[in-house]
Amino acid sequence: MSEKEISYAIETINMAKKIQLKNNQPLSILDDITLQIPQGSSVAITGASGSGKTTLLGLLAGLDAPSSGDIKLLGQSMLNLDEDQRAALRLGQVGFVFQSFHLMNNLSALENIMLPLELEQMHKDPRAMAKEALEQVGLSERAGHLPTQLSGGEQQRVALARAFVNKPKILFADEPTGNLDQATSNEIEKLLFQLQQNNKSTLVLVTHDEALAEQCQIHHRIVAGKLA
Amino acid sequence: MSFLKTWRQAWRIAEMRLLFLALVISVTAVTSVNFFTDRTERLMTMQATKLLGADVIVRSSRPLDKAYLSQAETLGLSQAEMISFRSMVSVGESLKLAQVKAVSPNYPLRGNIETNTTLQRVGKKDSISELKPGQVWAAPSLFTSLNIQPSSEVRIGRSLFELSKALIKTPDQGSNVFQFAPPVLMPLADLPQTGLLTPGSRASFSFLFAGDESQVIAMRDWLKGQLKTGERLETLNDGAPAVNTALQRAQRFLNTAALLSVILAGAAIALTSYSFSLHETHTVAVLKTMGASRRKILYRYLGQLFITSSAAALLGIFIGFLIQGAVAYFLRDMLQQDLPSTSIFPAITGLLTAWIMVLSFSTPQLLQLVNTAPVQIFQRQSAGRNSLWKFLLGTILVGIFALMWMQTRDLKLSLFIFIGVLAAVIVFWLVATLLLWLLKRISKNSQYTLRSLSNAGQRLQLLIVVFGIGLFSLLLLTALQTDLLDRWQNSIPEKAPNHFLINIQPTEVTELKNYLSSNDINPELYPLIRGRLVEIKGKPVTPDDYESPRSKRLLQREFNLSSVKELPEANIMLEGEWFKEEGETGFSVEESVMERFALKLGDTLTFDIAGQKATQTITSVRRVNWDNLTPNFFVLAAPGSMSKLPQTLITSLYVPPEDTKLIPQLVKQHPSVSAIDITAIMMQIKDLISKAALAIQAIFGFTLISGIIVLFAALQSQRAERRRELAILKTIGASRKQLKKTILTEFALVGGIAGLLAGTFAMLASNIAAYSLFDLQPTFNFFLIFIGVGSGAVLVGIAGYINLRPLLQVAPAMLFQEHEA
Repeated sequence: MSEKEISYAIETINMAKKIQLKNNQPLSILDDITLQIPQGSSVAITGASGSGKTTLLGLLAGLDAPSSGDIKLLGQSMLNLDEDQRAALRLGQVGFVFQSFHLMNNLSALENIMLPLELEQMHKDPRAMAKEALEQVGLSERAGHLPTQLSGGEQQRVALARAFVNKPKILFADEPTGNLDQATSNEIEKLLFQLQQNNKSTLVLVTHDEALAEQCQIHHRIVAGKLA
Repeated sequence: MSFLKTWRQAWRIAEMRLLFLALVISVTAVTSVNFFTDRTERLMTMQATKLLGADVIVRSSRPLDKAYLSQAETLGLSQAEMISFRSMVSVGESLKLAQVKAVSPNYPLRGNIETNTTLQRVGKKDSISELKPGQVWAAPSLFTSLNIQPSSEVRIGRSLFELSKALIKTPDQGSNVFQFAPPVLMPLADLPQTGLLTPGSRASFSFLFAGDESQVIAMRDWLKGQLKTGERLETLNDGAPAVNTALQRAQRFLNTAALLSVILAGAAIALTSYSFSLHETHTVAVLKTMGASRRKILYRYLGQLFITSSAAALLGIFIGFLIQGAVAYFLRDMLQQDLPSTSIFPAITGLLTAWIMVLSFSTPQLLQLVNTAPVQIFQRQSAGRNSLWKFLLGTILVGIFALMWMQTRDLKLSLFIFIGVLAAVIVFWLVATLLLWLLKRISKNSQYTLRSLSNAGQRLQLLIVVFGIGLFSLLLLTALQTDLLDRWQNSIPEKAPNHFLINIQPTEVTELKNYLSSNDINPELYPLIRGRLVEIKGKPVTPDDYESPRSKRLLQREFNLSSVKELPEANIMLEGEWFKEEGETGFSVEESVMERFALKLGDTLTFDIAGQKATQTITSVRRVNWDNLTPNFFVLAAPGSMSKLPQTLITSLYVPPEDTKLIPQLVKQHPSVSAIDITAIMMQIKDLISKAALAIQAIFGFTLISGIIVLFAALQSQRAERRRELAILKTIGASRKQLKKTILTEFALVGGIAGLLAGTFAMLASNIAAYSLFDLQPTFNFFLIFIGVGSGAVLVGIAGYINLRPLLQVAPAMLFQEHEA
């Protein structure tokens, strides 16, 4: 399938997620989710705590499998894919930004950014690419620092550089500013949208911050496991 | 990924550093013990070969093929020749039967000859090159019997010799205590002119060989294929049983010490990889979000582990080598000689140890780790998915056993300790669970410390098990060491018999006993009946029926039989019942003879005793402590069964070294009695024991240190979890004093419980080990339990406090930050 034919970056059809509780009672977390996320768009998913928004993000990215229904990531159905096959689908195409950054503490800022490129094993000079990405987030001089030596805002900027370094088609962000103060949050948000536009990536953002959600082109609300 | 980069990145992970440290410690422990054991084993083997006078000996009653000498030449072994026979030595009218040994100039190849120019029993090292043509040296008893002094002239065969010096010690005298004719050394070149050696004369012809290990093995293997009827090989294993027993016990102990140090290190590594896998959960989830496959992640970790373990192994081998070098250097004066150099083998064992440990201890963790669901990235806490059972099972057990076997190369010892430790782990876990359950019940309304303990659950159980096993290993080793050394040294008491009197005629007994008791000596006399084993279960047996040279020899020679009323002191009954008072039937047989001829209780043995056949049923099986220097017998007959058969009597007694008259006087009064001075053999055995004891103490000391370091490593692995806990407690207002009290109470309690379990188990295990591995009698030392509880509470309490104290000083906010980091 050529890229032109893919109209949606992500598509879900009647997707549901249920889990089994310890007393064998089923608990429905997401129910009957059908949505389409166009390529290059920015989408916000908001909802109260426990509404299932993070579970939805995990499912959309193929980190977990739905109980029923199907999800198509970049036109590819994930219905019959196992975990490694879904990982292969993400490789080089998907980036992530998390609330608690999740940088590798044993890698320097630069090495963290090089990691997705090294996993892909198809770039000639990952170091140069990583340096460029670090420059884009304004942290060239901190290349050799370990995450523990960086402030929260700096860590999230490194995380942004890591997420965008291989120009992913889709970027998933989970409360990207949840752990930051207002000023730093504004800075990171600006950088996030700027990088998304430069790279023409699709942005799927989970947040409970309405102001941040308003900056996205599409806004989905989730209430008690269903799209409102 | 390049080697250096992987190394640098791995080094930044706290658990990897800890793993590295634990591996360095364990490899250091294993290699230093192995290097040292390797060298001391060589030393002890060398020491023991001195008792043979060579590494390999071929003996025959007929002249030996000279081709053996040329083969030894080709293989590069040194060689010597000896022809030994009985002959009369005379001075004027006095005659004495002597054991003449005609030796070539390079005799002995191992050990030394000691002589004296007076009849004092203290010898000086001497060389056979000092024995000039026309001279002979002889044991002091020959001088006494013939009533002559050194430098007298004696006749042997057709020749006259100058009896120039008293022969105090020859290296091969240890192998046959019952050779009662006094030995006489003569130059081999002088033998023909004596005219004593004619075709058909009774003599023993020997070639002696010595060389390095590989040469000796090559020679021995070659000789095995060449031996003709009547020729036999003697190697160290056939040497004096007293020396072999001492040597085997020493080696087993050293192996046990090394093995326990492996277990100690294993406990630390297991804990470290456990916490490593918990903390790496998020990393794995992140890698998966980036699209990494399980295989890729597995390779990434395996690469890091391989590099970390190899680097740790190299460093450990290096430090281990330095430590054993230092120990050997400091022991040099005490050992009074340099240890032989070491082989490369301990280094290879060290490297393999590191790899096996990492692979077997980390693989189950890694496999679980790479299966981390990527959605876990959204969860704040790593799921506590590891239960101790999963954690212990599988490859860890296989790995531990592989390490044990590699370390000891002794299946029995490995199995014994493996099953022991496994049982200990299970019992420790169950008891810890029970105790914590009790604690929970009693702590409902008590203060925070106890409540927090009862809520700590699996972590405490894990610590109790780990510390328990650590303390158990150390206590077991302490018990075994003390036992082994004490009992060893006691096995040759201060006034151990230093003379054997043999060939005592039944008619002389009363007079001899009176003479001895007038000198305050009241030894027990054993009848000695010489008989050839001719039938087993009523069927005739000949040497040709058996493959093993030792079995053949037992059938060629005459057995020394005896009959006694009471079980001799150095014997333990294994099966059957001891003879009834004045009983007239039954044989009590030593266990190795039972095994050698596949005998069972109830089988019959027939001995040919001076032409009369004596048949009895085997009624009991004994284990004999051969290093006890009293007369010991393979076969004992019922007290009343042998009285009518021709016999002489034998006894052993202690004569103070300064009393130089007692024995000569006795021999004068009873000319047919032979007195054998075994002071020299005893000195050799004592010397060997004290050297082995030193080696054991040195190695024990080192295992102890590594055990303590490993306890610290185990504590360190739980630090991250503690940091979080302390941060929370500080935030909610716990004072430093309260926290200090909590930590001390918790660790002292954990240490005390672990020590209680460890002490109890060590007491049981040391007795089982003493009995089944070291042939020692069990004794219950309840003191071990007190030491266990005390040392556990103090050691773990202090170690735990030292480990966590820095965290008490830090502001809570910092604690959280570092934890997140």
